[in-house]
Parts: sequence; structure tokens; C-alpha cells
Amino acid sequence: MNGDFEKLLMKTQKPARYIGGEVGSIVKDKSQTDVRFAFCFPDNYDVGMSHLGMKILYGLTNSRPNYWCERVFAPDKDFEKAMRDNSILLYGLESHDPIKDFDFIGFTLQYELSYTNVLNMLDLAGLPVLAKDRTELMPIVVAGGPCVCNPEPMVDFIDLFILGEGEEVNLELLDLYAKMKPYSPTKEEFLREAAKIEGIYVPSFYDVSYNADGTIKEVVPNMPEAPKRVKKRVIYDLDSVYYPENFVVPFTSIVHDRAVVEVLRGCIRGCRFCQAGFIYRPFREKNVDTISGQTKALCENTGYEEVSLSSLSTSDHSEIDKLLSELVDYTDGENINLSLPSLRIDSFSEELLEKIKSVRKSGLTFAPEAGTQRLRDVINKNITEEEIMSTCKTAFEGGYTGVKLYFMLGLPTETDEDIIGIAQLARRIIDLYYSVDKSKRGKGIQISISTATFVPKPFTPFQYEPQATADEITRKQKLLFENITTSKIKYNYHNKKVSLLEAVLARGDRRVSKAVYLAWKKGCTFDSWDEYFNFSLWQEAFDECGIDTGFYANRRRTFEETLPWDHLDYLVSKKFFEREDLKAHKAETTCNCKEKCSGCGVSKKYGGVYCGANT
Amino acid sequence: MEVFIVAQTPKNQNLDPDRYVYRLMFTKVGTAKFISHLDLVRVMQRSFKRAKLPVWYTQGFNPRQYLMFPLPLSLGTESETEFMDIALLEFLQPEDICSRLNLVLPEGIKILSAGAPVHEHTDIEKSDYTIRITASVPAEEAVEKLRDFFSADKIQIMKRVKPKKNRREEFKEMDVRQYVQLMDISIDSDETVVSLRLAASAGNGFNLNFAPLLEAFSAKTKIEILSFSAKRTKILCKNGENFS
Ligand code: SF4
Repeated sequence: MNGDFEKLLMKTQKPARYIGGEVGSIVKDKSQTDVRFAFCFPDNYDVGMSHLGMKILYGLTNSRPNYWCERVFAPDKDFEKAMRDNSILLYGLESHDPIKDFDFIGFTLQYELSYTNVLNMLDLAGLPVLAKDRTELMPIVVAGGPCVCNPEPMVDFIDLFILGEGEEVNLELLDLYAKMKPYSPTKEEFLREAAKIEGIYVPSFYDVSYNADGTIKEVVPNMPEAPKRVKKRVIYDLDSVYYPENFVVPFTSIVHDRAVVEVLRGCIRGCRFCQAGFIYRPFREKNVDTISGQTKALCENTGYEEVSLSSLSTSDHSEIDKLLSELVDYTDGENINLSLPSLRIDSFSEELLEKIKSVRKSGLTFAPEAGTQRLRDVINKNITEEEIMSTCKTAFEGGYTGVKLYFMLGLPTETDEDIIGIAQLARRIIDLYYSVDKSKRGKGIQISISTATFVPKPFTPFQYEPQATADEITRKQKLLFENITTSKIKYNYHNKKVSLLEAVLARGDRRVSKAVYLAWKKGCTFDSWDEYFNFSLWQEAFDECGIDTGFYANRRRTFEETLPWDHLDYLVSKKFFEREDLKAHKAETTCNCKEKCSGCGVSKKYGGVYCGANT
Repeated sequence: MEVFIVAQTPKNQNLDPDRYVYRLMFTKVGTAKFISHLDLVRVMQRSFKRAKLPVWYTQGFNPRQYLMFPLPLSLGTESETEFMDIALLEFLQPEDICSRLNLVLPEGIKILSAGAPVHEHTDIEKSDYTIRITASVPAEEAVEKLRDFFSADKIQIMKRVKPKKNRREEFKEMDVRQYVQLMDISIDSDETVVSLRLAASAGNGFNLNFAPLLEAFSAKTKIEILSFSAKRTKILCKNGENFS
């Protein structure tokens, strides 16, 4: 580290974000490595370091002696300016070498609003932002993560996408590269070989044509190696797949500063708005011994005093009682806190509750998502008012006085009655509080309602649905506001323009790539940060490339339309989504996978616990 | 909903086990100087856990490791002589504690010794620092101006006030005359670097940060500081002994 660089660090907030050297970070001798991989998280250190997927793939890649994976985050605006003013190129935290000299630069796309940060990081690295301008073999710019299920708005910038779970395919890709590199292939030669690997999507190998009405006519491969449809990768057995026994333990506190153990993948509940519920199918779990072993190893190696279980819905683990009682025995003895996000309290058995004896909740939160049972049936959100009420009752009796409720506005088939229903539900919770004996309940009930605007996502039954326009949402927000008649209820709402942008990026096609580029050129970065989000710049970008946001956000698609992501195969069939969308409009619910397999199209061969069990 | 599982009854209640208090002396050099004091506390707690030291936890619902720092160090300053007190439930040989910790500590932090505390934290009077500076003017001129600066009646610096949430950061003017004293100043053999030895009073809640001090110097003399580094070299007690 030279003096000039240190001087910049002295002036920045939280310099520990930029120095590397954390315990658990892996430094190798670069002369002994064949492939160098820069794992980039397109957000700042505090956010990126909390991300589990990165920890897994970092450990996995580095478990191979001849590969070296380093971490890279988006510098905060103050440090970005310092870097640009002093011509410091974006570097890997482990070696401090510029990432433009690496073999691979890999981004994880976790949310659409991080897209401009990807461009900005490539630019900070001193690389051309457009894939077509990077003609050399190195570095190959790749991307994975949930947003890659519709990567079309990012095709101009990324050389290849990795679909699905990365533990196997990432190494296959690096192995291929290591094998070819000594022969100095061209970039195209490498990409053609890579396209043969299942799960690898090379966007430049596909031509997209359009109908007169602007919809997609067809997407056809233009290279013999490119498959007609690219299928996502799935790990069959979670007990034997790689899981890190150590994490990089940051110096500065980050969003989630703790050990994390993944307990299961996929979700048995098919909430119709939820993309994660479909793209991670099928439901697979680790057995209790695997989870306890990984918990102990991670706690011992990192020294963390908090461990959290990660999954979409931990209560759905088939041996949740055994799992928790085993873990509690360990964590209690070691003075470690066990935290369980996404847990349904009502799923605890009496026996387990007895053993745990006390549960400290971070606060009482519910996500009913919709204000009436009818609309909850439409979205297939399996939570009833009785469940909310009974949990609240127990909590009020235990002295709790704050309840947070999360809803979405603009869901398909929503009426004013559903919106008023939100206020009424909150009202009934207040009544419930007053019905609890005065000696038991705490003082001063406070309910907070938050609404987010519904964003239709690819690979969900609602992929065909229009998003409510910003004006409609304003009216809905106002309506809800007017129906809240007590100061005991606080109402927070979400920026509608953010949701509009998310909707365009989530279901956009290749033409949207131009707008992403222009928006970045105009200075958009950190779009997910309220203080930096600037919709008017995005609007200018859309206008300049002739993009009508309404076409992408507010238009209903027919079942016949070719969707921009139809050439990508996430195992769940389009027929299933159509069926589910039709059922939604009739407010009919669908069983969860555990109750009954509803034949969503995922084959038994992917290791799903319940797949095909009842058919 | 996020649920934390903790024991129902407070732990270690009415337990007063035998405790062995050790004072550890350690370095904080190189990039470790960018670890803030708050972060250092966490680094240490996690290191004790990784080293599997039998640390004593405080009582209550939320037991914490017992860990005391007599004199926090400013962010960006190195040190050859930092201290912290820990309590163990078993007697361990000091060398054993040092070697187990040094295996798991990050680079730049090294335990030099462990032993029974000699002084009280309140005995601390001041600490010595070595500051090395390169300036935009010849070293001789810098030396002269620095001497003047440190011998003036007032040394006004702009101290950063911790900003309230969502507020811009603020600065307030402060006279640090009573807190700093120039002990020695010289030019290194390469004739460009100026070395200062400063004594800063300690133990009164005021923690001297060198960046604002040198900024004040630049503002007053129009001499630009091109680079500087600061290192704590000693912690001294009122009776003149080295703190240990
Ligand atoms: S195949 Fe059946 S059990 Fe498997 S994910 Fe689909 S609906 Fe669920």
C-alpha cells in the first residue's frame, strides 16, 4: 500500500472497507495460480459482505489451489471520487491488484437496482463497459444470481451468464478456461466452448427479432454450440455439496455480521408474486447432522457470537424441532446467539417451546401482503387472519406493543375494498390489544403499516400481469391513508418510481440495455439507495432510446406472447404459470409442495423432497 | 419474522467464579491502523473465541466477554504499545495466551506480552507519539514553522463532531494547547522527512487525532503536508513509569 493510497484512506469514512486483510480472507501467491477471479458485488462493502452466495463461491473457488478468487465491492461515492481523482483502478481486496488484469470478473445480480453499479465498476476497473468493445480474451465478464433469470437488460455488458446454482458450473467454467488458456484462444473460441456447458448462456449467440407491435417474434441461436434453451443448474444433494467452513470476518460492522448456515433451498409455498419461490425450485434440505456440523465449524473458525440459519422458510425443514434443539444445546453452551429469520412461531411444537423456554423476537412482523382473505387467496399467500391474531395475542400478553405489517399495493384483481381491508386489519389488531388484560399488556400500542408497489417478475404466475401505473398507486396510497383514522397506526410507503424502474428492468428485453447504459452515462449509480435514486435521469434515458416504460411495466401479456426470457429454462413450466395465473383470477389457492405436488414441471431427478410424490 | 433464541434465565447469576485478569500488550501497525476502536473490540472478542481461550462472560441475559481498554487509539494512528485487560476462568501461562492469540489475529496486531496488571487505568497521564511528515517546503523551513506552531499560546484545531443521523458532518473549533507538547523535532537522514516526538495528555477523555492537528498547521502556515504517519510509542503514568 503506497503513501498516496493511505492518504486517501485517511480521509474516507470507514477505511476498513477498502484495505482487505480481514481474518479468513485468502491470499495466494499469484505466480502459483492459473486463474484469477474477481467476485464483484455491485453494492458497497457493508451490503455485499453480508451476502451468503458470495461467501460460498469465494470459498469454493479458493478451495482449488490453482484458482484465486478475490472480493470486490462498489466503493462509496466519496471513495469513488478519490479513486477517480487519483487514477486508482478498481482492485481486488486480497491482492490490491487491478481487476482488469484478472481472468474473470464475475458479478452477482441480486436486485435490478444494482445494474448501473455493474457498469460503474467495469468503468472504475478501466475496462470498456460494452462487451463488444472488450475484444481480448481477458477478462471474461460473467454474471449470476437471481436476476439472471431475465438478464436481457444486461446483455450489452456481460459476456456470459450463469443460470441457477453455481457450485458445480462455476468450477466447470474455470476448468475449461484453465484448459484452454495455454493455447491462447480468442474470446469467441472460449465462449463457444463455454456455451456447451449446461447453465451457461452467451447472449451474443442469440438473435432476437421483433413483431410490428414491439413484442418479441423469436429468439434463435446463431452459433452451433448455443442450445435453443439454456437450462439452469441445480445441486442435487445439499449434504455433499461444498459449504464454507470459514468466512471472511470483516473489521467494520456490516448489515449481517454473523455466521450463516444454509438449511434448505427452494420453497414449498408457491406465493404467486414471489420469484424466489419459483426460480429456486425444487425444495431440498440438508440433514440435521450436516447443519450442526457446519454451524460448529463456522462458529469455531470465525469466532462469531451470532449464528443465523438461512433459507426462504426455515420452519418448512422436515426436522425443524430436532434441528433447533440440537443447535440450541450447542449455542447456549458457547454463549452464541442463534437467530432464525423467516420462522413461523406457530410451527413450534410444545416440546420445543418448553426446551427453548424463551424466545426474544426482534419485533413482531407479519407480511400478509394483502388486506383481505380474498386477495390473499389470489396471491396464494398462506397466512390467515386467525394466525396473525393468535400470534399477536400471545405477544401482547407477553408485553409486546409494536406490530409491523407489510403489504403490497397494485396486486392483480385488487379493489378498493382490499385496500380499505388493510386499515381494517390494523384496526382489529388494536382492538385485540385492548381486549388483553390491562395488567398483562404493555403500554401504548403502535402499529406500522408499510406498503410496497407490486412488481411483476419473470418466472412467476404474475409474469403476464400489468403493474399498476404510478398514478393509480398514488390514488391507492391516498385511499389507504384516508382510511387510517388513528395515530396508533403509522403508514409508510414506498417510492412508486422505484417500483416502475424495477418493473421495466425485471421484464425488459434487450432493447432496455441501451437505457441502462444511458442512465449510467447520465450519472445513475446506487439506484437502490433512496438518497441517490434519480428517476428523472432514468426517464431521460428511456426517452432518448425511444423506450415506453408502459410497454414493459403496465401492459398485460398474453399467454401466447414470446417473453424475453422464454429461451431460458428454470424447470417450472410455462403451462403451470398460466394455470396459476388463471386460478389467481378465480381466487383459487394451490397446495404447497408438502401437502400435494401440483406438477409444476420440475422433474424428480433434481432431488426435490416432494417432487412427484403425490402424482 | 426474525426470532432470536436465548436462554430464559439470566446466565452466570450468583456465580462468582475464580477469575484471572491479564493485561495484554499488543501492537497495532500497518493496515491495522485503519481498524477503528469499536471494530478492534470485536476483532479481539472473535479472536478469543477462535483461540478457544476460557474467557469470562459477564452476567445477565446477554452475557458479554469481559474486555477493557485503558486508552483507545485514534483511527489511522499506529501503535507499538497498546493494552487491554481480559479475564479468564482458568490460569494459563502468559506465553500460552500470546501464542494462541497470535495464531488467529489479523496482520498488524500482535500480542507482545501478557501478565498481571501493574497500574490502574487512572494512573495514565500521557502518551508519546512519533510523527513523520513530508511537507511542500524544504525540511528546514518545515521544522521552523512546526516549532512555532507548537510553541504558540493557542493551537486551534477543527474537531469533527459526530453527525446526528441524516445530518451533514459538523466541525467545531477547539484549542488543544493544554493537550499536546512538542518534545523533539529533527530531520531524517534522507533530508526530506521531518520527525516529531509529541507528548499528548491522556486519560481525560480527550483523544488526540493527528489529521486535524496537521490540517490546522497547513491552514495557518500555508504549508502543505504531503504525507504523514503517526505512531504511539509509549504510555506513561503520573509517576513517570511506563504503563504496564
Ligand atoms: S414438481 Fe411438485 S413438489 Fe416439485 S416443486 Fe413442482 S409442485 Fe413442488
